[in-house]
Amino acid sequence: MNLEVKKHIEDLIHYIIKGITQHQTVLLKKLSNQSIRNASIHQDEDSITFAIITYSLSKIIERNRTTGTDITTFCAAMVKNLRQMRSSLEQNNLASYNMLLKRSLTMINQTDDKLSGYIQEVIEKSRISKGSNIYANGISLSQSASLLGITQWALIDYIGKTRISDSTPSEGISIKDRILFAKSLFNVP
Amino acid sequence: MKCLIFDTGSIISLTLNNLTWVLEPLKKKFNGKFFVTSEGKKELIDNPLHIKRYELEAMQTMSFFNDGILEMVYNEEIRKNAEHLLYLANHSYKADGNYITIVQRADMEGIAASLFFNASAYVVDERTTRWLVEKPNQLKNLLSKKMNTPIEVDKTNLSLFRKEVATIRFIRSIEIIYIAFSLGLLDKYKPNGKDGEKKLLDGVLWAMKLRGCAISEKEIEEILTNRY
Repeated sequence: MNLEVKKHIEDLIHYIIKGITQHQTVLLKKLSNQSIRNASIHQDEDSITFAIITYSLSKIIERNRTTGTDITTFCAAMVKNLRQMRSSLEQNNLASYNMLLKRSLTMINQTDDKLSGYIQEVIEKSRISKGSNIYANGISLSQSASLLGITQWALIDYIGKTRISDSTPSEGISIKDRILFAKSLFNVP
Repeated sequence: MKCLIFDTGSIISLTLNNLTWVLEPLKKKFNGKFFVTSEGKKELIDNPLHIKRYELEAMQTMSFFNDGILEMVYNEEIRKNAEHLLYLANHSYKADGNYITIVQRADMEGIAASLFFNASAYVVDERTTRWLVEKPNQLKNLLSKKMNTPIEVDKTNLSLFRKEVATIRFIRSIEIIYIAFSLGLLDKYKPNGKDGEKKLLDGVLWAMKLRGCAISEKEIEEILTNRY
C-alpha cells in the first residue's frame, strides 16, 4: 500500500467514526470528496472504496433523519469494523485490513431486509456519483467507469444531469469551428 | 479510407435519446464507413447485455452492427499502437510524484484506429481524450484545479504523444445531431407553429447534453443564436 494512501486512510477512519457517531453527514461527504481526490491521483481500490463507503454512510444517515428508521445497530457495527481496520493498519496487518474493508461493504447482510435493499441502492448510486466526481477531476469517462466498476451507460446517464460541462473552462476548439468542420465532412452548406 | 471512428460515449448519448437511427441516413450522406473499435463494442453491447437496466439499449445498438451501419474494427497494428499511445498518455501528467492514469485502452484504441484508417474524424463526447490532443495545457490546469495540487508535465512523453496524434480531428455527437438537424432529418419532430424549428433544435441539443455529451449551456446558446 502506498504510504501516502495509508496515512490518508488512517486519518480518514478517525474522522469517519466521528461522522457516524455524531451523525455529521456534511463531514462524511467532505471526507468522501477527499478520498475521491486521492482516488483520482493514485487510482487505488482503497481510496475508491472509502469514497463509496463514506458517501453511502452520509446518505443512510440522512435518510434515517426523514424516515426514523433505526440504524443504531448498523452504525455500531460499522464503527467497530472501522476501529479494527485502523488497528490492523497501524500494525501493518494488511491481510486483516483488506478482509475488514471487504466486510464493511458486505455487512449490510446483517441488517434487516428493508434497510439492506436501500443500502444496496445507495452503494450503487454512490459508485455512479463518485465516478462522476473522478470524471470531473479530469480523468476520462471510460477510466472513471472502470475504476468504480460501473458501466459507461450508467455514468453517462448520470453526468449529463450534473453541471460538469458548465463548471469547467470552455472547449479547446470553438463550437463554431467544430460545427463548420462537421459540415464539411457531410457536404452541408 | 473515408471513415468516422465513434467512441462508446457518442453512441451511448445517441441511443439514450433514441436518435441512433440518424446514423443510417448520415452514413449515406457521408459516403464512407462508420467504425467502432473492439473495446468500444464490448462496452456498447457485450457488457450491458448482462445489466437489466441497459439490456434493451444494448440490443438496440447491436441492431446497428447487424445492419452494417456500424462496423467493428480491430487489428494487431491498432492494438500495438493503442498500447504505445496509452503508455505515453498515462505517463504525461504527475501529481504528488505519481503519474496519473487519465485514459483507458478504449480511448487510445479509438485514436489508434483513427490513425490507421486516416479517419476524417474521431467522434468523442468525453472531454479528457479531446483535450489531451487539442489542449493538453488546459487539461493540466483542470487536473490541477480539481485535484487541488500542482501537476507536473512529463514534456518528453507528452511531446511524443502529441506528435503522433497531430493529425487527429474530433467532433462530438452534438455536431452529428446538428448535421442531422441541418439536413432536415429531425423535421418529423418539429412542433407546429412559430419557432418550431428553434424549439426542435433547443430540445435536441438539451437532450444530448442531459444524456452526457460534454457541451456547455453557453455553447448551446451560441448554436441557437448563430445557427452556423
